[in-house]
Amino acid sequence: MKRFKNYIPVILTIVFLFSCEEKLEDLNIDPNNPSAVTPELALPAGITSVASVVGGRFAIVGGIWSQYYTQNNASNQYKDIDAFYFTPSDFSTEWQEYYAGGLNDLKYVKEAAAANQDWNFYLIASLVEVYGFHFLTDIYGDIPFSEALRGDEGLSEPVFESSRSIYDSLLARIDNAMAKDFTAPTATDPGDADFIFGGDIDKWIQFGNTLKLKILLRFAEVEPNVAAAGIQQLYASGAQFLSEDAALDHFTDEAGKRNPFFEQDKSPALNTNQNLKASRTLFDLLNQYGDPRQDDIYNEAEDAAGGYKAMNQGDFNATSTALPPLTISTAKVGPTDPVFLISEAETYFLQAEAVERGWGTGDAEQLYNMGVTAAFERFGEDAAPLLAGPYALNTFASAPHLNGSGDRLGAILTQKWMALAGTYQGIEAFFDRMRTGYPLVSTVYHTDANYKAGQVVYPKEGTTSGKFATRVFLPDTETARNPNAPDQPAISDPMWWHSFVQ
Amino acid sequence: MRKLLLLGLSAVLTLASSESWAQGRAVSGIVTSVEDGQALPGVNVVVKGTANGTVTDAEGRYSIVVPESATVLVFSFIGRESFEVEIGDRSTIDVQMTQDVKQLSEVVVTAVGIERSERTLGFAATKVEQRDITQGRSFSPMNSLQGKVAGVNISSSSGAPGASTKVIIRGYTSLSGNNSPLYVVDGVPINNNASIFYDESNSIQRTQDFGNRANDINPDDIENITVLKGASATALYGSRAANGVIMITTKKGTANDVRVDFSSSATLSDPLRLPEMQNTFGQGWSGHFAFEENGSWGPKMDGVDRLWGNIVDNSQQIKPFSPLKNNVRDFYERGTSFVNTVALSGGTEKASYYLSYGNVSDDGVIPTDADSYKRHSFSLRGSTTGKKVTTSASLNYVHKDAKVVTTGQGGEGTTVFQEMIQIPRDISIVDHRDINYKFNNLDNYFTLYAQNPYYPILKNGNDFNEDRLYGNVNVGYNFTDWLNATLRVGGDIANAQVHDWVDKAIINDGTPNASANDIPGRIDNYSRYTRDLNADFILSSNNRIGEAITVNSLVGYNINDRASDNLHVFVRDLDIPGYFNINNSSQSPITSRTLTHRRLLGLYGQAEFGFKEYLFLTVLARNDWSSTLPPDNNTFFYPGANISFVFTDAFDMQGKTLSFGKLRVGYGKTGNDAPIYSIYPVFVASEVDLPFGNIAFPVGGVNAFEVSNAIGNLNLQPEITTEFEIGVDLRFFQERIRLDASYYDKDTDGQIMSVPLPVSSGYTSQVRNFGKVNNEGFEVLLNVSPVRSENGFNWDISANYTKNTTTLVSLQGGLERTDLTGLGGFFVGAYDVDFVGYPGQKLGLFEGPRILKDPQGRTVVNPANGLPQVDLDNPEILGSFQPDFIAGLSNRIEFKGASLSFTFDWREGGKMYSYTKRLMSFVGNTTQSTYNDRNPFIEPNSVIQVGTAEAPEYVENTVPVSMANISSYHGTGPYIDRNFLIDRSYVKLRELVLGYSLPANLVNRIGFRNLEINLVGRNLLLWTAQENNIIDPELTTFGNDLSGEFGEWGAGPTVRSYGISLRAGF
Repeated sequence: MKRFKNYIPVILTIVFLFSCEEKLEDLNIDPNNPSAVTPELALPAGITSVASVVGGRFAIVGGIWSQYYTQNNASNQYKDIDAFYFTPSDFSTEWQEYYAGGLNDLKYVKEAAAANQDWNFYLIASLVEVYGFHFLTDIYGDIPFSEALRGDEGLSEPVFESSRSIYDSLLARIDNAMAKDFTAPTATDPGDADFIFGGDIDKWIQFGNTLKLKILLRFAEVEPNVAAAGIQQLYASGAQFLSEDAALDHFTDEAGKRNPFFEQDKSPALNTNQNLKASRTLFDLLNQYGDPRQDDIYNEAEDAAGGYKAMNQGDFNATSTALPPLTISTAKVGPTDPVFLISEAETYFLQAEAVERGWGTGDAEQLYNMGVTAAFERFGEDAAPLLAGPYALNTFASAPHLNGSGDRLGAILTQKWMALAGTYQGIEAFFDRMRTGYPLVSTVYHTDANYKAGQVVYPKEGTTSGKFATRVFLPDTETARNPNAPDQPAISDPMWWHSFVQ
Repeated sequence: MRKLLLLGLSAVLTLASSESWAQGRAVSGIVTSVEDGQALPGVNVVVKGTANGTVTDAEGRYSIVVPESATVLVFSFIGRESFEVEIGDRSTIDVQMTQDVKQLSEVVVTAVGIERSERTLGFAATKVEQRDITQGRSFSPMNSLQGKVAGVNISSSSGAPGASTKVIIRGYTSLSGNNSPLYVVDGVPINNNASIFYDESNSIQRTQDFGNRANDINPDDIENITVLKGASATALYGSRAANGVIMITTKKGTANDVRVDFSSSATLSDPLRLPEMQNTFGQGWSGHFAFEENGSWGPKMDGVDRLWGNIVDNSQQIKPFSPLKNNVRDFYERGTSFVNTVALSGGTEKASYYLSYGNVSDDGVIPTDADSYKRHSFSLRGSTTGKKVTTSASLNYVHKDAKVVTTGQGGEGTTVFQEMIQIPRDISIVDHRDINYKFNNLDNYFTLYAQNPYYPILKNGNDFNEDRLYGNVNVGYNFTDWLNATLRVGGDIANAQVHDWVDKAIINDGTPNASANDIPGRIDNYSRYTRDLNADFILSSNNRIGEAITVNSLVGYNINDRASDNLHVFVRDLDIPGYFNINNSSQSPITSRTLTHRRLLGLYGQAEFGFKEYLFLTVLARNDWSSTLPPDNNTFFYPGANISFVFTDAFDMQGKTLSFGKLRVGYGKTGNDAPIYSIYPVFVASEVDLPFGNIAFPVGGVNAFEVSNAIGNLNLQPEITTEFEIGVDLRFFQERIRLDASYYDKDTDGQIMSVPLPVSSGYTSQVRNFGKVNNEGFEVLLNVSPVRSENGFNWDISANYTKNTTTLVSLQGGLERTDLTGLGGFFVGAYDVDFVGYPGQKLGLFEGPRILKDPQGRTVVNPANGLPQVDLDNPEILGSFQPDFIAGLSNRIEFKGASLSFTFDWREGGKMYSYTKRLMSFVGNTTQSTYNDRNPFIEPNSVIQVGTAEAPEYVENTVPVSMANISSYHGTGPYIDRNFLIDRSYVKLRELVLGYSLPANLVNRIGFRNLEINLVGRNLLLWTAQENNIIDPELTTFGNDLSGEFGEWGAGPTVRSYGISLRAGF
């Protein structure tokens, strides 16, 4: 008995121990982060992630590959892009921002909205998701799709699917989302959470149609029957297309709140803001026609002489004595400029192309004019004088930088390429070039007397023996972690919808 | 503690004998030490065969009344050999006592503060005494142990004052990011958080190391340090002790003695290793001179005067185009360090006290006090011993005030080291000191690609302040002579404030550098509070069964509760230059607060069975309940057992040669719970990462949250380490040679780690039990005393050798590879070199680009430029961080109070990534960049691929690497990162101490008890592998855990220090 007494404290502590257990459990609930949020709070995150990649890093890649810009000599930041000289770690940030950032959030919004039958949110999340996946497969090729974004279900090594099959699924997803009942009482007004149209569902339906048209046109050269059938059906259904920009215009000139292209190109983390210089490819064409957008797309040179000047594409190894950096114009981008998902000019050029190809109804020239006008109005410039002159569709179609005379398709796509420079959509113009071959590729470099302004050149320091880059590498963060990842394609392997043969 | 008890015991004996003193005669004398002649207080003096005795006083004097019948006096003192003296008819007997090596190491403090005789231990425990901890005069007790303990890898992350110290015992066991041992001061665990700041999304940008908290302990307050290495030694401490335990026993007051101890040192420091640079080619790029370039890719320096830099006010600077070999070294100043401690101690048989104040004041080698460390520490300890109740309490207060120089790549605000190593070889750095001078200011500085290195140290800075209070209260109660209870409660509360600023740097329009980006400035404020509470209740009993068997057992209950509160506020875009309050911006401050609270409960027990004092079996077990594990599965149990067999006693085989022999075998488990908040999914404030900069919500007045990139895991289980160890302790020639060797093999299964996921899963990581890691190793400590002479000439050598191999045994779910990118919150990785693990291979492999080869092994180059190509689908393993072995050698020679000690620390093998080398290569400053005298060359043994992709053919390459591409060849090619892995081997002369202790009789006369003067040096010499002429391989900027093994990113130099120290006792 005496011994037993001595163990009383032990027994007491054991009792205390079990009384503590419940508390232990509560301690592991994270007080720092919410465990649930509404679709209203997640939607802006999803839209912003998707927009920031297309309008950020890929505004730079697209700007260089569409030869609006080129890498400054005497600095280094984008040499790899301009010379097609990549490593598999180069585009992992963007891959991550899509899959683990935007697309994942949009999936959450979609699922939460579907559970509430809130079809407005469902529509927006679905369309931005399709937009994101479409962009991903266009730049990376075969990617995880139907098994993607399911890590929470324990599916953490998704298979890669062919880009071609993803296209079918994307079109199906648009149809699925647009078929919902947006008049249902459960459909709420997204309001401020809709960063693109402020909750206007009619505009989202136009966005859906325009996105579908854009996707279908990718088939134009390789599977024209599919493109024709799909586009004809779209027109037959009475589809309305966008007549304004679908853009994210919420940026302010504050660190961490700026336009993503501006933020990374002018970041204080880089020691110079001179990296992106005017390329002669676009600059010379604008200059040749006295196009006023030259001063909107490029900055005046910073040296004492000032004025606007461009440099040869990819000539970044030129010495600073031979090519004083401050004599060349830099890319013009503002901290509060919007990110354009689909620009107004783009929607008209898409329609113009559909009509010109005979698949859509309407007047191709009128749509072309509306596209050029919208591109000028983006900067408050007046397109009328040039449209009455060298930019008139049939005149421009016979311009020296195109294939002989009457190349109306070439004229539409070349003007589209010029227009997209003003909305930082060079990557879309690059896709068009891979798809159609416009703008044309010059057989000679910028320095040759026979060079025709407006034709794309193989960059001076290109490392791919005359073949343009067609894609970016799959990130090593994916290929190393996912046993289902395919072998790295070559940087100049064409996508299935590319018809442009180098 | 033991000493105290001993004193108490002798006091009791004295009292007991007091009845008989009337009949004797008085004998008195003084007891001193043979080694240094100092007086020995507290020595027991007993009349042999009686209980009649006394204790020597502070001056070593005693006086005793002995009965007429008495013939022999016995002098005994812990740590000294007992000594018997014939009394004869003498009335004065002076005695010199020698150190007893066997006794010295006899008592070891083991887990939960239990003191055990060393012979009973079935596991390795290494004890380091006070002198070895303090003689090198490092501010950090752990730095002092470098090279001295087998099985323990200690490295200092930089040469900056107050930098953190990494201690890894028996290899890395956990990939979850915490492999630090548990630090226990007087039986109570303390907080060892490191205050290392880095940009979480990109920790290569700006890193700041304000040190770790184990370094807060004033080495002068430490009595000894015991390192417990294996699982069977540490299991009682629970899951936090899975990586070993550093047990620190502090100094206590001694009875009958009021002592004042004073120690002071002043040391100077210089950079130990700076990168070796080429001195042939000067400023320029692509072979041409260019006055605005930040690199040395220009022409050969010809000594001819050249105009250089920007034209300012129609003037330009002129200087000879010739190398300035020491332009980087000249930048540094001599660092100073002062370390002082004063302690007052004393007591009676019933009570003791110890009071100390210490301060450290360091100013490092960077000009200005931008790298400085000040520490004030107060300690107060006391104890009482009663009949039934014993109490003791300790209270420590530490105030730290530190400033560090930011390392890393820069980002928002430049960093001094990165700016300095890219300056061309012909340009002076010290001449840029006046940052307002027209050629040196931001507008006109000679290059716009780098900033004047003086700018970041003069304009940017930080201030780290920490107040910390830690201590414990112990109450013991003796129920009976065999059963007692102890309640021990400890607390550790710290509050740190960090203020960091980057000044606004505006480059005016129309100036030569106008095209450089402005730095808008940034102010960060952090408030970091931590509170650790720990309580143990222990019941212990000591029994004897018959003559032969002893049973010592205990049961205990432990509560460990830890909480933290971190608040971070920052603004960018400052309005007023040079004003660094958070209100200095038109932008809204960005704030975040992170709270954590975790609790661990444990129930444990241990029983030690002894048989005839030569065979000991200890069995132990602990069960933990952790708040961080899934509620349904939050408990785990781990047992252990060990055997100690003193075979020399068992077989009665002590001879002249083998004087002591012990064999020990141990088996044990320890568990490790999960990182906090990793089981439930959450949403996080939305932020878009861009390659540079970000977009952080709220945006446009709208807030947003996004699905966290980490998936929760409700199936998490604790990590369990199972360790087997076997060891021997052999002593020869009366302890003149002592060999202590251990072999261990430990598996850590169910590794908890934030496993990177394929991003296409929608998530980047999940905390998982993902595999098994094995550490197998062998550690030897050999102590030899070649000379021990009566005249006081002693020579002791101590050598240790450790070989540890960490293997990633397996990965769960058939994973073929894991990348270690996210270790401990750091981004660990370089441009194209990854830190990875493959099952069945060494852990922590560097994987990088493989150069494309044709079937004959020739390099395939790009026909456009002659640069080697990379085989994209097949990255290559380029080595591991793990050393082949580490070893240490210490030596001490003493003669009559004079002594010479030195310690070498040798680490052989392993690799690390060096960004310093990368940047130097990029700008053409490395010695390797002068390859082929920088003339165009054809890559040796190279081919060009022709034919089709399906049927490639290879023809000899005739495309040279042109002048313009030589810089790409060395600095930017896609294969190039592999070249920046460097050999990590080094040998360092860690410590050199030349000391003299003045003779006791001399110093006593002038009122001192002891007086000692030392010349000290630390890290005086460094040898590295030939290929590493860049940095001290001990450096890291990736924190003080496994992440740090990756390498360095723009680190500063380590330093050598030398100076003088004084130690005096009154």
